[in-house]
Amino acid sequence: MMHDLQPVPAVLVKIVPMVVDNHLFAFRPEQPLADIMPGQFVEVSISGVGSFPVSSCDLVRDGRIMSCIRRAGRVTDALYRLKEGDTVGLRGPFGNGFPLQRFAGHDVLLIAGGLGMAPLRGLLQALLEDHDRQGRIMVLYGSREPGGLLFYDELVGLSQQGRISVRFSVDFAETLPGPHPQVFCRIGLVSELLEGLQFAPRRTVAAVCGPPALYRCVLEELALTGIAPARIFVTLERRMRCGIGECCHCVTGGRYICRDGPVFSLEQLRGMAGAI
Amino acid sequence: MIDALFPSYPLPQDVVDDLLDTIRRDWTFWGPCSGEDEVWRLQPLPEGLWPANAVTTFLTVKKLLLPQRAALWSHDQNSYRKAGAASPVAVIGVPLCDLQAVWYLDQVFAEDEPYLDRRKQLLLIGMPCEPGAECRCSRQLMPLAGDLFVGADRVWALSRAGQGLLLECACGVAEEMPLPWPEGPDGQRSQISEDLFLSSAAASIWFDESQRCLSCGACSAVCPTCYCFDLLDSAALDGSVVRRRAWDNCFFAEHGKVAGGHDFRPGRADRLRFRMEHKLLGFGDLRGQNSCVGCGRCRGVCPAEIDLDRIAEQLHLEVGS
Amino acid sequence: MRTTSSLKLSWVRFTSCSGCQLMLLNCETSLNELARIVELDAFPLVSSAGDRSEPVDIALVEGSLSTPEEVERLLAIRRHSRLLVAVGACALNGGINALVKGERRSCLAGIYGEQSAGWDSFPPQPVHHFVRVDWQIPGCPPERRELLESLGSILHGGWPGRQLMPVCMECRCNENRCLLVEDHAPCLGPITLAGCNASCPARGVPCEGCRGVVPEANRDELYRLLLETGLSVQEIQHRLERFGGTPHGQADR
Ligand SMILES: Cc1cc2nc3c(=O)[nH]c(=O)nc-3n(C[C@H](O)[C@H](O)[C@H](O)COP(=O)(O)OP(=O)(O)OC[C@H]3O[C@@H](n4cnc5c(N)ncnc54)[C@H](O)[C@@H]3O)c2cc1C
Ligand code: SF4
Ligand code: SF4
Ligand code: SF4
Ligand code: SF4
Ligand code: FES
Repeated sequence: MMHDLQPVPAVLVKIVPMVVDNHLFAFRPEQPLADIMPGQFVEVSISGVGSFPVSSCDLVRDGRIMSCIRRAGRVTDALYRLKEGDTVGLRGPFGNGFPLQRFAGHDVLLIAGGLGMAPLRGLLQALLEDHDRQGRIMVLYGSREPGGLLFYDELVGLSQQGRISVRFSVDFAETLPGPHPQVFCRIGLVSELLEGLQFAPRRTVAAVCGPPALYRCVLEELALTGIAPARIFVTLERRMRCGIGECCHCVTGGRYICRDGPVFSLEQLRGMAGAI
Repeated sequence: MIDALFPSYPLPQDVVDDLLDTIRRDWTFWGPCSGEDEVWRLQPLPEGLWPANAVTTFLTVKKLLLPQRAALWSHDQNSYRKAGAASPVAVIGVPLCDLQAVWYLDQVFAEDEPYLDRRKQLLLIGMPCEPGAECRCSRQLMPLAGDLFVGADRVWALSRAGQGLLLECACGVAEEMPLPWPEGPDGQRSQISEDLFLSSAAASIWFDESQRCLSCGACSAVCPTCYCFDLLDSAALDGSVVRRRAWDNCFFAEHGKVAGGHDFRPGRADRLRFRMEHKLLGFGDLRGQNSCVGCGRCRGVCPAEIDLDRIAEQLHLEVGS
Repeated sequence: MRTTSSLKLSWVRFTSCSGCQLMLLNCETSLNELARIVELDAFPLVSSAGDRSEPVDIALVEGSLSTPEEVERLLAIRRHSRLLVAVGACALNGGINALVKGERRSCLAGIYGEQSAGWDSFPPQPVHHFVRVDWQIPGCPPERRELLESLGSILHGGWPGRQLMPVCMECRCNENRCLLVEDHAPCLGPITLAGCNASCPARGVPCEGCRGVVPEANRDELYRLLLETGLSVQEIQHRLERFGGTPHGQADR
């Protein structure tokens, strides 16, 4: 596929504040981009300032691309200064995305740390909207503090409807999150949420996303539960500039994460030095 | 592929003149020129000046293919416009190692429109070189790109465009012949295997060598096959914006860093090892293709005397077997 | 997307040579455009009016500070400015002014005589020692291009991207002859933040380091190379200290 590194103008149609400095942004490109699969990402350009990669956290609806974006530095800062109706540029989609066919007919375990919930929320939407789907969906989600849990109300709502089961963990908190007293939330690491979780490893596919520290503690532990490493999927975060396997910033274990990834199975990661 | 034969034609002087005139019609000539400071640079050639042989210039044709700071597009009033096209240039006096390097870049940027736009405007004319002390090229390493190769009394067509030019100048009868690689160290390029590389993670050589690295960037600027880049915007006061692609270097502090401060290649040793991995093993689909064409430029410019060939050798001693 | 149409701008000067202001005024071909988008609240080299302590969008601060009154003024400016940009070596790390070494009182007496006895002053300090700095434009003097591009990016709600790399990279990309390697001249290019297009080495003048130190600079190795140029330990020390007060990049966010 040919690339010209040129963005498509897109209107910032909606900004939904969620958690401090983690807002939802909906963009509508002037010309539709190719369909964005969960786990794929786009590059957002604020011309005159720069660009950054971001996953979509929802299916594309009415041509609108939704992302949950953290105010993390120079360019995301500039995004936070825009208003609804302003224009940005979009390039993409890039990357492979989650292999949805591998999730069909299986129970699904989603494990997220912090902002890692954003791409997994896109995957969750795809799973929920697949009406032929069989199997449970379990979400384990850890954050530093209760106020940092993204999509909290939505996840709790889905769990009350019985469509998913969800467990939260926070690093520290004076009071555990309400107003849902029946919500499972404990203080500790997200990996500890695996303790006592009832599931059938042979029937389960897992997807994990979070900061590098999360991978070090969760992935091998997950494999120990008996889920085959080929059925544990991880999305990697790296510095990315081009998204098309040229600029070399994202390279890990000799592979362009932006193009061959960012989603890999644990089995693949074990063969990629420096991946975890 | 490696010992490829190319159509070769006899090249008497009158044909040389003819060929030059034909090329000058459509292309501007660039070639190696040496300044008072004794630095060889690729520059537009004054009329009638024809290099005697190829020179490993300070920067390679990379500076025309993937310029150091090239505009990709401009943005104004909510529309993006592709940057202006490059003009046609015929580069003459390109050494064989640099032609191999262009082949390598062609693979990396095979789907990159701005690169291909420039590539199409280039006519690459190789010439025989006189290998210097730093040269370690090898015809076995990889194929080469280019259009013509002009020897002392023969000329080779390396591409269809080159062939067309020679037919236009009525060069006589073609004979399939190999290119005349220089006498000298046409031998083995330094190689490392995937296994050797993987087991070298803790080798002391990375640390010992990289301690001296100034992260000055010279090695990648001069390398004919280094291509990593950054994207940079500049905004004018009238609100218009240009995005440029600029050469980067894996020794620079931010090459592997993400927002929040985590660095996936935090130390100089990691960075040297990453550079070595890219040069000798390659990334992505090109994994396994050694991309160090042995031109010796990096060794020549490094203020800290860091030498990938020496490191590869010592790696074999320290980790190998 | 251009988010701002007119900027109220104030140029504030502390102890400095005014060279930074001059660089902006030297952007002749851009002054018309600048006048269209900027409403000047103060600009000492242009007009003696100004500094009305009214709220401004952006304050460009030049010079280093060495008295409590100056600090008071700086704090007031910070309060009135949406964005505060430190411009030039003096504002970023003290610059030439900070070269004064030794006991403060005797330094003052040496220059100003007895009248200085009651003065309340301290060694020259960079701006970021007192207030939050939103952006830094390094150099002595700063680059015209960088001044204009910074203002240009503000119109889009941000700051321009830049490569945190040493001057050598620009120098090599311009195919200059290396003064350090070829001529053993004491060039500070390897540890100095790029952005000047290596303009000194391009003219055969070794880099003085006026743009400050690049992040993760390898000072040890440069020190070794400088010894090889024949400089004494003392001379190297002075050379490295001239603009090396603080590493660049802390206000980069
Ligand atoms: C595949 C992928 C998906 C992502 N999805 C999300 C998401 O859904 N929500 C979200 O908030 N963030 C996401 N990120 C992280 C996001 O890209 C960074 O937070 C962002 O680049 C910070 O840019 P900045 O300019 O504000 O920060 P600065 O620190 O100023 O970074 C400067 C530049 O460096 C590069 N860079 C810095 N950090 C990163 C990083 N973590 N990843 C890639 N490039 C980086 C960018 O090109 C950036 O513009 C994702 C990153 C990747 C690689
Ligand atoms: S010798 Fe150095 S500069 Fe030349 S190709 Fe190899 S790595 Fe690149
Ligand atoms: S070796 Fe380093 S500098 Fe050269 S292209 Fe690769 S990543 Fe870039
Ligand atoms: S040229 Fe030498 S000192 Fe400079 S970055 Fe390369 S290896 Fe390091
Ligand atoms: S002259 Fe100075 S700035 Fe230029 S490459 Fe040499 S050391 Fe670096
Ligand atoms: S982001 Fe450029 S190679 Fe992956």
